[in-house]
Amino acid sequence: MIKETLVLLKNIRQAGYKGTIEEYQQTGGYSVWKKVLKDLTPDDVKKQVKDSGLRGRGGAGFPTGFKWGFMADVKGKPNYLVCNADEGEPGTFKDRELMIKDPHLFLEGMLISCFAVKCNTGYIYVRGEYYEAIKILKREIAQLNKAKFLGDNILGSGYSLKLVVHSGAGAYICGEETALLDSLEGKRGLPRVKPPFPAVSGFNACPTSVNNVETLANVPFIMEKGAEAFKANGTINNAGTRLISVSGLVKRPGVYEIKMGVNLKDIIYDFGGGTLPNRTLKAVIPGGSSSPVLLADEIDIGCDFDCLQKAKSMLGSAGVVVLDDTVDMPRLLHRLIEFYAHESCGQCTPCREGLNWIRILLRDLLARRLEKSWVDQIYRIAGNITGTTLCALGDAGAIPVMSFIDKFREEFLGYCK
Amino acid sequence: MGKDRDKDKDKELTSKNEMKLSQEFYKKAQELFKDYPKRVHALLPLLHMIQKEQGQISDQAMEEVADLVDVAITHVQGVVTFYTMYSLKKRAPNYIGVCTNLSCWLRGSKELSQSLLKMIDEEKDFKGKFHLEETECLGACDHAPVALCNEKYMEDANLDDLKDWCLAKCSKDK
Ligand SMILES: Cc1cc2nc3c(=O)[nH]c(=O)nc-3n(C[C@H](O)[C@H](O)[C@H](O)COP(=O)(O)O)c2cc1C
Ligand code: FES
Repeated sequence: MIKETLVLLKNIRQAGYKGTIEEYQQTGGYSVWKKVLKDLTPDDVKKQVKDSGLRGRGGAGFPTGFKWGFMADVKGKPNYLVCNADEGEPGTFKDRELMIKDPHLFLEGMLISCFAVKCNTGYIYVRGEYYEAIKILKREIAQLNKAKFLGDNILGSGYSLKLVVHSGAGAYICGEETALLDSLEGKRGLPRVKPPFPAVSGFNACPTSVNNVETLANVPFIMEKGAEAFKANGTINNAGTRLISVSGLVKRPGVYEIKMGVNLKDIIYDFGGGTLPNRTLKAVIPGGSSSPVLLADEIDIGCDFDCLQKAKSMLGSAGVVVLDDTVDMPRLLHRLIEFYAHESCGQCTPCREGLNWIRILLRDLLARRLEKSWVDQIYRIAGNITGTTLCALGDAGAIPVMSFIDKFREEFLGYCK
Repeated sequence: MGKDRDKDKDKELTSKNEMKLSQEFYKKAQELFKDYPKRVHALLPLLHMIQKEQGQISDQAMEEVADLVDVAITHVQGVVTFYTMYSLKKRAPNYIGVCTNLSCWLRGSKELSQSLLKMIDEEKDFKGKFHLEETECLGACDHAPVALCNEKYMEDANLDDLKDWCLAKCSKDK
């Protein structure tokens, strides 16, 4: 039986913990923030985060310390830190858990990170449907202002910071960091051409770092216990713990915290409780809906960025969705592609047109109107989307198409004339 | 066309006045502007306020907002039509969004959403009171199926609980 390694969920796992500022401080909360303000420089913080090997938890796994290092110091242009709390990847619900149940852990991480990148106004871009999280964050930020952990010349340090909670309005694409920045600027959420990267020209054309909620929530631990302690949880190149969202057809869905590298099968059986009664495991989507699906006999692998990549899948947002023998794969794929086709921002032809054609063809397929050769045609369309678009949404839609057909070809052919 | 317009002019004028943004809105807008380097950055929160106040984003509102943040009216139209939480047409006062994405779909949310639609159609008291939508993943997949009822999540949703929620809303309105 495997056990959780509690860093981010340490407080949440305490019975009766409500996440108020008082409770958070009783567990030692905000002592790191005070220490940082008193004794450290932004470069000290950046270095420690870089040394810790922390990689972004939003999907791409880019090293956070490096990202901060790229931020240009431009005269006359303020630096910004924007937290990506748009959590929209189907099967992912860890950021919501953190924001609702232990908002101050995340907020302390946000404060320290803003300090590290010399930002005086930090934005938290929360998806609009998260009314509850938005309300909690606004309320707790007011508490922080009252406690003087936020505001002008914080605790006499000379450092000033304001935090703004910004609500999205229902668009999956705004999780992509440059679309998110456009959205924050009051525009349609359209991914930008890169370069320039946000570190050079981000929000309001100023140097900006976009970081995921879970990424930032790791920062207090790193600054308190040190880079080595952080690395001790995890594998080489995959430092720290990871929040895994387990859902789908399992007995005990929920958010679980593991050391990186823990076996996926153990997560599904020990934490998730395995499949529902009288069902057998068919497949697992390991990293949110856009990650390639794994067959039941492929899940005996470590859960970290590199192991899953080796297995030709990805850890992505760590949304593990469990599928059993009752699931009709072509039908499930059709539902997923309806989603991606709808969420395409429409800028790039392969994504806008390709995903919609796949949607239409899958609909025809399910109605048993297609000849067998169309299965390959659908696969080809998907192949022509990958790598040809401004952002990764095209790939995110095309990858499940190819992996579903690769692994469940017979089911697709079974729907053909 | 021209003639029809004249005929409708009186009607249009009154409805325009009804759609005028409130003093309260303009006051809150000034507060919001303090949070951003440029006024236009506050466009999304401004539109949220209008949608909440008026149940829609009307032409009149879009034009007033364009004046307020000083961008082209087409910019505002573009934004309103891009995001699913805004609507050009007036929505019924209560919102129910049933998630039909991956994990909820696996747990029967499509059927739930269809039965809900039927139930709301059939109950006379519910007429015109509920705006029903299928949504994408709401980020609470461990409690699938999930429904967003106005601003609250209903986790592990089923038809009975949704019906009770609707009934409670109706009796509150009376
Ligand atoms: C289509 C698309 C959707 C995305 N959605 C999210 C999201 O909801 N939340 C998130 O943190 N990152 C999301 N990302 C990743 C972001 O672009 C970005 O990599 C991330 O916010 C960086 O933060 P991190 O380095 O802390 O992971 C998405 C990317 C793409 C291409
Ligand atoms: S799939 Fe419905 S909440 Fe995530």
